[in-house]
Amino acid sequence: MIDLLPVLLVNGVVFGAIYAINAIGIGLVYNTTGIINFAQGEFVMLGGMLTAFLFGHVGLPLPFAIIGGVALTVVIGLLTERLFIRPLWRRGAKDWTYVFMLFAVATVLPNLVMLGVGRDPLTFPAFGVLPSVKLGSVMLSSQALWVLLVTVLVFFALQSFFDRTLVGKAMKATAINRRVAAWLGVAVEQMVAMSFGLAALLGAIGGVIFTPLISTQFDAGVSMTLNGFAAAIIGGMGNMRGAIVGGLVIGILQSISTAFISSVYGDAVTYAVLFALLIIWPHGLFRPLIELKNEEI
Amino acid sequence: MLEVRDLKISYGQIEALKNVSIRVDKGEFVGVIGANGAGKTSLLMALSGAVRVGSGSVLFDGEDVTHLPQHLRVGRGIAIVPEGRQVLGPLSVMENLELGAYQRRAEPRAVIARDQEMILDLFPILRQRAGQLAATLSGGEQQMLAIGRALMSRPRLLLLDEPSFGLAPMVFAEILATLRRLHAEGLACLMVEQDAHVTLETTSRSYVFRTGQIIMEGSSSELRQGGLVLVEESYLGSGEKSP
Repeated sequence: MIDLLPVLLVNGVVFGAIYAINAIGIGLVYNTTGIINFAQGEFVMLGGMLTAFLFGHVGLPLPFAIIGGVALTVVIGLLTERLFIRPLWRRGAKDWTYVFMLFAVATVLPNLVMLGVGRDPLTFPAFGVLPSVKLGSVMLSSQALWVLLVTVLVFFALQSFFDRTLVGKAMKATAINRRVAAWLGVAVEQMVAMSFGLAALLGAIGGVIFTPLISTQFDAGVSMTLNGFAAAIIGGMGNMRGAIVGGLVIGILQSISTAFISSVYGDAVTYAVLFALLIIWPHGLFRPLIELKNEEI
Repeated sequence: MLEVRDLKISYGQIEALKNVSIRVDKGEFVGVIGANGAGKTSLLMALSGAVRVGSGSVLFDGEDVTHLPQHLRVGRGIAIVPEGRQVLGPLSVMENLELGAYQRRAEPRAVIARDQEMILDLFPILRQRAGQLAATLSGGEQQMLAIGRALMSRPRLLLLDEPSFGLAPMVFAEILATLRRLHAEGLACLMVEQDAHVTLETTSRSYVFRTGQIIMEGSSSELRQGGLVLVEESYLGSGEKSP
């Protein structure tokens, strides 16, 4: 059994990457709004499903199908904010109302996909180009390498967006103190819209790089949301570095517990370990960069 | 320049401002004094767009800005130094200044950088702290940063909410000296302060607030000579609280 460990670790890291991407998306929306986006995993599903649809059913070449799938998902993310968040925001709704709205979105979107695209799992070919790599005794497939590479790129791209661009800093300012940000001339509503757009973009990218590995289907979003949410909490909500670590922790835990204990109880074991971690570090492994002051909306 | 007519603000059942009318002329330094809960902060919240106005109007340079969204006001030339400073703690001093010029983002970077230099000349201590997180600054340094951040928008009217808040008298005196200098260079200021003596010494005209109303107004020197007893009375018996 123990010689399986390297394989399981690598596998866990690859799955951890998608959880990390989701955790970052959840953190982005949390930072600007103070709410948890329970539709985050649906963006992953949409990215994968729409790309697969455009490729398999419409017959677009893969690169165009990917661009189309990601773009459509971003549009859906922006629409989610526009139709379900902003009207409530303007009228001062309570946090749980948004959360409920996002649950509703997370319920309706898969149904629409089921009606429009179908119930069957879909996939599309691996991207190729990159070689598969031998890490010690483990073979890392070309597509798994894509997953890791894109995740790292996404992380650094976001990092420099927040550290180097004025708009990125304005988004951070919004997260730190909405009222002050507005005094400085930041249109807070635009920042909220942008955080949903970015969250959808991240989810879609995650769906696109991951689907060739395991395929996807209309109801794949829920577990993506839950694992991303768990990763965000373990890492420290809204902290990007924490999201990466949290994603890896969960990916590796799942991979190992499923293999060593039981595929049936894998999730239960994972969550038991997470409970223990949270009892020791109730605020997550990394400190949230920003403590939102909701009373200052 | 600024003309406020019959302004009313309420938070639920509580009336924070009842028919307040004030004005600030070009280049004037105007004070608003009164006890805690007199409605001073509510006035600045309304002028900066952070709270909804019940009725009345706010004119700025002839434009009706009563219901102008909060984030557009700084572009019109109204900047605020909020109570408790409210610097962006997790960001650096330079980033705070940079964000002060957010609505000028279409301007060339060199122009913004030159203004940043000007602020650092005005408050040399901030130059030493340039890379530090704003949260690590002392109270006085944070106040300087809050003022510098507001100046980065090149305002024509500076709203100052309780600038003495939590500062040692020496530190506050230094900040007041800087404010006087800015005023001498032509910047109009509206300062809300609990400290009546300092305010009347610094400003040319003042309003005295009590429970959401103006009970006295006039030139600060007159208020200082004749009415200070009355001014002090205005601080008594006003235990009403407002945000």
